Amino acid sequence: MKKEKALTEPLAFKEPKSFEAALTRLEEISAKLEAGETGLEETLLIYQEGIALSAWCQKKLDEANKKLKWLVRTKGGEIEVKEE
Amino acid sequence: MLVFWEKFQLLLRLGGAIEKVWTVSELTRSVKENLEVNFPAIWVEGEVSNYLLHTSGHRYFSLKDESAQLRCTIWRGAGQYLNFELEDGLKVHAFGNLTVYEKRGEYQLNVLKLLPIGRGELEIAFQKLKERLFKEGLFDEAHKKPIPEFPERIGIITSPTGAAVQDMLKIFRRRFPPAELYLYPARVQGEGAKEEIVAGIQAFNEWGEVDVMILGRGGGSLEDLWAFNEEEVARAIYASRIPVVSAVGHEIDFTIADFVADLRAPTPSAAVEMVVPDKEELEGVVKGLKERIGGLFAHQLAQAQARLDAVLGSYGLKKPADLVNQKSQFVDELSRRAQLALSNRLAQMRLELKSADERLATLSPRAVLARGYSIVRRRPDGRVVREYKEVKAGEGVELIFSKGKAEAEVTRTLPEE
Repeated sequence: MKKEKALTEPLAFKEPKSFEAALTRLEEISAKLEAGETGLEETLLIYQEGIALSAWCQKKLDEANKKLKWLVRTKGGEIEVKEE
Repeated sequence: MLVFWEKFQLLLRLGGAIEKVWTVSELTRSVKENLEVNFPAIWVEGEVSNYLLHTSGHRYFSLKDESAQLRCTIWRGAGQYLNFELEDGLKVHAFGNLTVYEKRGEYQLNVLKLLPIGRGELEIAFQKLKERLFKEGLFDEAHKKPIPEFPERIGIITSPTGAAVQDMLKIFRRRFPPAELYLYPARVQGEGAKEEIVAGIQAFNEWGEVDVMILGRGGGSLEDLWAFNEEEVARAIYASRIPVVSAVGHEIDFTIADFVADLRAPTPSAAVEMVVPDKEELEGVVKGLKERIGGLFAHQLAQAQARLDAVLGSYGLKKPADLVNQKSQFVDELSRRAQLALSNRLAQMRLELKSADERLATLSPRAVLARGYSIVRRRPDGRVVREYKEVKAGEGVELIFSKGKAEAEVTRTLPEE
C-alpha cells in the first residue's frame, strides 16, 4: 500500500536550506543509487527526491534577480534590513 | 682664476712623474667600487624622463632636475613591487644604490623603490603598520577562514553611490541570480570612512546572516584608498567571524586590508567572480547529477525488473498457481464425492425406511393375531382384558382373532400359577 502511494502521489518535497544543501543532497542520492544498496521502494523515493531537487536548483538559477537590500543601523543601535 | 691656475700647475707636475697608468677598466671598476661603498642606500628626488619599459621587464629612465641628470634602472625583480605606473614628467622619490655601467662608463642609480612625491609619508606609515601587523600575526594564513563554496547571502560594504557597487551587482546578477545581496552603505574615503567600514564589518557579524562579505572600493590614489590601510579596519577584519574578501582599487593596489582579509581580490568585479559560482557551470553540475541519478535509477529499475522476472519464473512463486489448480481439482473431487455420498445415503435411508415399515407392520396387532394370539374384550364395556381379575365367571367376552371373532362365556377364573 505504501509502495503504491510513493509511485503515484507527488513526493512531499522539503525545500532545501540552500543551494549548497541541495547540491550536497543530490550528490548523496547519486552516491546512494550508485552503491545500489537501496531497496526498490527507497530507490523510487530518492529518485523522485533527486528529480525534484534538480528542478528546484534549476528554478533557483532561473530566478529573477533579487533586489539589493540595505543593512543599516538605526539610531537606537538596532540592525535593520531595508529594501533599496 | 688664480686657484685654477695653481691646480693646473700642480697637475702638470704630477702628470710628468707618471707614477701609475690606469687601464680604463681598472679605473672604471675603482670608481664603481667607490660609488657603491659611498652611496649604498640613498633617496634621490627628481623628475622622470626618457622612461622605457623594455620587453625584458627592466625599466630605464633618467631623473633630472633643472641642471643635472641621473641615469636610473629598475630591474625586473624590483619592478614587480611598483604600485603605480611610471611616466615622463612624474616627480618621484627614488631609493636605491649608485653603481656604474662599466661598458659605457656611466654611473647610474639602481632603483629598488619608487614613490611619487607626496606619497612618501603615507607610504612609510603603510610599511610600518604592515610590518607591525605582520609580526603580530594578523596576516597569518592559519587564521584565514575559508570562503564558502556557494555563498547565497553576501554582505557588501562599500559606497552606495560608487561605481564598485554597480559593477558588483551586474556581475552577481549575471553569474549567480540566487544570491541575496546586502549592502552596508559606508563612505570609503575621507573623513569617517574607517569608522563606517569598521561599523559595517561589525554589523554583519552581529546580524550573522551573511555567508561572506566583500569590502569593496574602486580604484583611486593611495590617499583615496587610505581607509583600507587603517589599523582599526585591519583589526575589525581580523576579528570578523564571517569571512572577509577585500576588493580595493585596481590589480596593482595593495592595502593592509588585502593582507588581513581571508581572500584578496584584485578588483570589486573580480571579487564577485571569486566568491560566487558561475550559473552556467552550476547548471552543468545540476544537469549532470540529474542525468546520473536518472541513469542509475533506470539501471536499478531494470535490475529490479530482471530480479522480479527471475523470481516469478522460479518454483517458489509458481507454487501458488499450482496450489490453486490442485485445490480446485480437490474441490471438484470433493463435490463429486459429496454427491456420491449423498445419493448413497439416500439409498440407505430408503432401505432403512423400508425395513422400519416392515418392522412397524410386524408390530401391528393384526400381525400378532396372525401369529396365533387373540384379543379378549369384556362384553358389557368392550375393555381389553389383561388379567383374570378383570373378568368373572358367568360374564360374556368377545374373542378377536386374526380373522373374525367369537363370543364366549367365562366359566372359571384362575390366578397365575
